[in-house]
Amino acid sequence: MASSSSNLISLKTSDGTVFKVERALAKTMKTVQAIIEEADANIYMIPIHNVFSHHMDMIIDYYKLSVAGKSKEFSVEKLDNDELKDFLLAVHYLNMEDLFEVLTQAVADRLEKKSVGYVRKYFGIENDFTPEEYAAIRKKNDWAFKGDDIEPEEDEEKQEE
Amino acid sequence: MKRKKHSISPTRVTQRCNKAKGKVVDEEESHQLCPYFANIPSHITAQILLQLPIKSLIICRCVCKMWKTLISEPHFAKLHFEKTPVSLMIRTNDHRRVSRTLYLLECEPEKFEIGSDNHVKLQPIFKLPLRDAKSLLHCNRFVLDKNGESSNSGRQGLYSKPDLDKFNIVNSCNGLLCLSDLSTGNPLVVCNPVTGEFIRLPKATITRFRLNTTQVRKKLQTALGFLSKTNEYKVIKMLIRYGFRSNDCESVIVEINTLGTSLWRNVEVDSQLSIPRLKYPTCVNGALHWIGFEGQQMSILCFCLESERFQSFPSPPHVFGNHNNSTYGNTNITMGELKGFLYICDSTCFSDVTMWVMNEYGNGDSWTKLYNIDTLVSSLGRPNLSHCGLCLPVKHFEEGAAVLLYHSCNCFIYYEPDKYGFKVFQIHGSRSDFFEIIPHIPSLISLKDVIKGDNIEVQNIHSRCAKFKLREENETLSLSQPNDEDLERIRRSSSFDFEIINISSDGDMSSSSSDGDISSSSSDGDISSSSSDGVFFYGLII
Repeated sequence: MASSSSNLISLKTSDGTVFKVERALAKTMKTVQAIIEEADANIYMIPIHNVFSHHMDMIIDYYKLSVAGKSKEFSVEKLDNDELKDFLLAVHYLNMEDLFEVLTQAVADRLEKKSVGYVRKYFGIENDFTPEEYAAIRKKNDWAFKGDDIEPEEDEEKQEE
Repeated sequence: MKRKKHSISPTRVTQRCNKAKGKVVDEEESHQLCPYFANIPSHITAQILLQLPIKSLIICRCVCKMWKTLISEPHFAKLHFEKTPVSLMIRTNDHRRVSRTLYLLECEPEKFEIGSDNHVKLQPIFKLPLRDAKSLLHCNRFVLDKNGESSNSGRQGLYSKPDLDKFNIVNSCNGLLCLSDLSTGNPLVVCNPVTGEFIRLPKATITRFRLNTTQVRKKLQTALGFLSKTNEYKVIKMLIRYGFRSNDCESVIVEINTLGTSLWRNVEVDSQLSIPRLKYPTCVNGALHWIGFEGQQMSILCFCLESERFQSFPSPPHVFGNHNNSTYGNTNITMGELKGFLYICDSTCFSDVTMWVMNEYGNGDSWTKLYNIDTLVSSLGRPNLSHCGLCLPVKHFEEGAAVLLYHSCNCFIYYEPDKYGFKVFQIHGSRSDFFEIIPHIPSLISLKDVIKGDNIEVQNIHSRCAKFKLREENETLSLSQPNDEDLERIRRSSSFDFEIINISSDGDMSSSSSDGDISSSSSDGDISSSSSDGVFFYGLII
């Protein structure tokens, strides 16, 4: 099993940009690592689908920060929800454990203390509870809905048919 | 039914902007119906949900059926539990009250910026089961209407008899609480306050000590433990019979019940075994541990849940050694558990609060002193006061924070060295002066998944007794941060004196209400790491 003799791996994103990344960074991408290991000959360029160049920029940023021990400084606050979702899916595709956890935490942070209605909209989920079922489950877990910091529910939502 | 056009009003947006962790809620988001996360794989959803705190997780349980199933899965509950930090359950500790209400206080950084004028209501609120709902209903039959609802909505509530209705909380283990009879110590119920589920333990089968009951002093010691190997919870019950004239243990009968089974099994004990006065049951690594106080001697008693035998256990030599010669008889040593590590906290010496952790389970040499807090003084006045310091870890030792409680003035102090220093909080809203604080990790672990066998019924408080309101439950507790003047007033009006004294390295003493300092050296040991470290909880409970 031959591996690339240089220290840099070339990755080609979906939008055609080629990034030369350190082998150590490529190692954090389990998907890429698997491709490298399976290759019989030297890989010239590894295409990474679903990953765009702006994702790679952020991935490289994160890598640099984590190498310097400053991974806590990495922030995705400037991304809107759609961008965060795409980035999360890209990182998931690449199978990068640490960054994946950081991003899922970021999504969780955005969902924290939001109302049921907000969460549903955020994920595009439809309410499939009957009104009685919903009332029962709400009542059972009522304590979680109380508190000054919780968004109030939009009662009309659950009446949707 | 009128449909609200604007679900988020402008003023609320601002409030939420300030409260959310830096995220800006766009007003327009409420109008967009496009799904941001439609069609993401379910294991990604699961991973996101695992990172939510428990309150938000419960909210998500109401989103749709698939999410409800996902969140209710035992494996998910277990994974989530492992990530959940320790929180504090606050309960009024007045003997006149049943005190079945528990307030959960999460040790979150934002919570500690209340400001001196604000009162923050304590939420969430859980209820413990009632000891005897039938009898309570019967006593109150004239107050209830035919649906069983209290006919005076809100204002009055049912009569309860604390001596018959109140539970004592023995310990919290792996997300469940063990409740016992207040006077006899007989373990009665195991419950999960978050889900509302509870099971009643089988009735006692000990009859051997019924003879000569008035002449023989007996005490029941009990604790709940968890054995992860077999995913079983076990409750141990020790009936200790004391000699007629002495304080020494004469004989002991030990029984154990595996949660879900309907019998108490006898445990063989060495007839020479003498059990001292036990406190602070802690479950670590599949074994239960207590600190045993026998006169001036202290030791650690250990019971292995797998082999169901007592075994010896090394105690931290410096801590227990020093106090054997203490003339006060006033030892404030407590024990706790965090992330699988056993902690011991020594708060006897007024100027020093010391924390030890056993780095390697079972290895006596691995007891390591974590640090001293030498600026905090619990000068509760005179040495002959019997107060106990309760010192339990709340955050794992790399992060470091502590909570201290002065029950006489409803205050507790949260101490997190790097971030906040000392922050004093006062609990308002209750006529009771006494509080009990129990470290607990809230979990969604369902009792139904935990108990073995079908013999025991898992009940839920929501099916009946949650809606009953006891008279004392008309109060809501809130927290405030007293400023210096308030603290001064509290100090003058309370019967105990307390001060926070800042002892600087050259011995000068000055009063201050904040800015703690961790000394990096102490006279009798070294600190394993001088960066801040352990979070512990220090409380005073009679």
